[in-house]
Amino acid sequence: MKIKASFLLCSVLAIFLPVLSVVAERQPAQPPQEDFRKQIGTIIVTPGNGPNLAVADFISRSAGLEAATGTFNQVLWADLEFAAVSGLVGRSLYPKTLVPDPASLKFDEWSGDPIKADYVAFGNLQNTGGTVSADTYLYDVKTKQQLIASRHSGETRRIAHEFADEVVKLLTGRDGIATSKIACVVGDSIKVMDYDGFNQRNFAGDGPMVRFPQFSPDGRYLAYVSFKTGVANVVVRSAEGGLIGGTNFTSTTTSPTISSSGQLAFSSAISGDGSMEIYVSNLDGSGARRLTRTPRGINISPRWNPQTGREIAFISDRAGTPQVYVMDSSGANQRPLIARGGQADSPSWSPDGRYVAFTYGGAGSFQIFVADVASGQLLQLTSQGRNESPTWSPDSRHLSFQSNRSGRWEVWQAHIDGSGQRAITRGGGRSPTWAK
Amino acid sequence: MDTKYSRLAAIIFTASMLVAVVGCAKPKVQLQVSRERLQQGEEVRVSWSSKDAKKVTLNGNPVDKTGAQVFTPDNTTTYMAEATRGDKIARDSKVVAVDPRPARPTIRISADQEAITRGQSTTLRWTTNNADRVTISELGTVPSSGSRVVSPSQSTTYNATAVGPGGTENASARVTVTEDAGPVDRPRTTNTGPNPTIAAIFNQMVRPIYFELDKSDLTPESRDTLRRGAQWLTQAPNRSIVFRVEGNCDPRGTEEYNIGLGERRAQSAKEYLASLGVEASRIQTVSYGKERASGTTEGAPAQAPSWAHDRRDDFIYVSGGTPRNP
Repeated sequence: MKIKASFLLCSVLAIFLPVLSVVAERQPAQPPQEDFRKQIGTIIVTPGNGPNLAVADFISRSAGLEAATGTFNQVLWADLEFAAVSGLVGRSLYPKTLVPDPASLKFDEWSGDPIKADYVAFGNLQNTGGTVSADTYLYDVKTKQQLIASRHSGETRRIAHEFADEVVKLLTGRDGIATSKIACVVGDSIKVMDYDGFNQRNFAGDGPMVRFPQFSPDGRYLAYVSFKTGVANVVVRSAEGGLIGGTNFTSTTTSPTISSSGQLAFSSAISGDGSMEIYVSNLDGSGARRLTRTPRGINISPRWNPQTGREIAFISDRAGTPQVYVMDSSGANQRPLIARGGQADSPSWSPDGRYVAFTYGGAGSFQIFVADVASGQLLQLTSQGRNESPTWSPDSRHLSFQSNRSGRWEVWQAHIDGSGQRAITRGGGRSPTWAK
Repeated sequence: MDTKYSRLAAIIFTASMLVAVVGCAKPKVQLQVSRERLQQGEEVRVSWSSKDAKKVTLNGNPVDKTGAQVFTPDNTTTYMAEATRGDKIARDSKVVAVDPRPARPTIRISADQEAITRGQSTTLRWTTNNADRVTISELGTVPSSGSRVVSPSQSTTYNATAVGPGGTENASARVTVTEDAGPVDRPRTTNTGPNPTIAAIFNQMVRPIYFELDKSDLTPESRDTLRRGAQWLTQAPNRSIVFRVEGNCDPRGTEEYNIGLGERRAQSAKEYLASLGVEASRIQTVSYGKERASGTTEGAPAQAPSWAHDRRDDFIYVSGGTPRNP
């Protein structure tokens, strides 16, 4: 066990690049920063460095629920594994006694050797008048306390996600991500799906080709680019598909982003200066105000800081190659966030405002990087194939992005430290955006 | 040897040994699947083995005590082997997740006029579903649904191919070109829709231009091409023509920034045309970034697919102009 754990630790550390300096222009000297890798290392719990959680298979208590129970167990396990808020004790060590309810739970069996669990999740599924219900429990087996006794009813995958989030909330005090959603481009249209890629459904169609969807931080709105009129323009809809508004310009208008207070920002070539400039407007596209001014330059990929709502990260080629910049949402104080040559694209601010992920590379090879905004330290998240367009999970602990490592563009996920990489689409996918 | 030690050894070496050391007389069963995730239509091999069992069932059906079966599940399925001996039961199960088979692409293509006189044009229209990549002979890679004005000089069959995760589908539309048989009734042209005749002439007079890698500056050849276009666009009958410049990039850069680069290329053409007297208000600009790129090597502008061909501005007639006889 120890050997395996330290091997894991080594391979995680191997992902980190040497710390690179960044420009911190016009910023007062910062106090010494906590080392980035240490900081990240505390975010993702690996076996051995956090509490141990055992998840006993849920038991079917009604005839005909075997398949649903199998699905429930699989989804719950995958959710808690990807949540990475505790070590998950391997099933092979579990006692053979089934635990459908608290009366069957023998604390010492789970807290002692070899399981050494701190917490045990268990329960049963039953058919209540045509609906699947799960009685769900979480116990602290060391102190022999009941932490959760609840019931979830509805679609099987959904109720497993709900219980997973309930466990995460109890163990960490923070909202989980198992009930969150991701939108992405599949082919030429937008699909919305569960955070694990299941339950993919169509979003409102808007012409022959749509690109670059972005959820608002609260997940209530989705902005994207439609080529319906022949010219790329921004469309804003509610998450249910109702039209809110958009732009109607005769030059490319792209890369929408919505602030936590419901303002829109985008990049457009309407200035007459031959350039792509960043604009801020009302959510419906009205009242556009220009923020950047670089004749014949490219300013693109604006992204609001979802935490403060007062800063915008963007890409600019004003100094040569495209790099990540930051400005106040008034347009003041435009400054490079990362300046290291090469080509950067598609910055994405974590919901807690601490990190900016972006695409970085050159010569046809691009990878996902994460920058710590305060210290400017970087880490490289991907290394296989080509990777672009990162987006953050609502809890700022995971990312999603597009990768062509399998031979075609698919949407992938990883933990903030680069571990746990997995594909969540199988029929193609690009430009993911993740929301509550 | 003390019992604790032997248990520990059992745990380390094999999980099944644990049960043996504990000394339970229960039957045992183990079930394995060849894969835990597959696509609809694919096979999974389910194998099981049992010990001390009188009867073994797989999903309720009696089976050999040790064996294997191949299934082609349509939905996510739990396979459960149950071994019984008297009133003692052992179970083992595995879930096999089944992804629905990707839908086959569909494609439809038609021409507004299936027969035209030489010099006339017609509009090809196509729609697809479940396609990642759509190509049309003579036109190359195209958006998954759209239309294009064509003016073939001889009868042409346009073969359209849609490729998606679910396979490949083909469709075609034939445009027959006949010699002008003398005076014909010309369709009335309204101010609203595009005029196919003018669109075809526009396509001949305002030609695509090509760019260097990562550049949006005009080359001397591009300036020549644009000067010839501007000459025609500033002639009296053509001064009401509104058109669109569509900027494109080769596939090597990133998606979002390439929209900016393609737009810069469109803006370069717009700016130069405006300096030659073509009013900026007549010129729409759009960038497709690398969405239409199809090259895999540098090649040359005249050679498609190639990166050199990908880095270009297309000029698309939108509206206006005075109808005329060919």
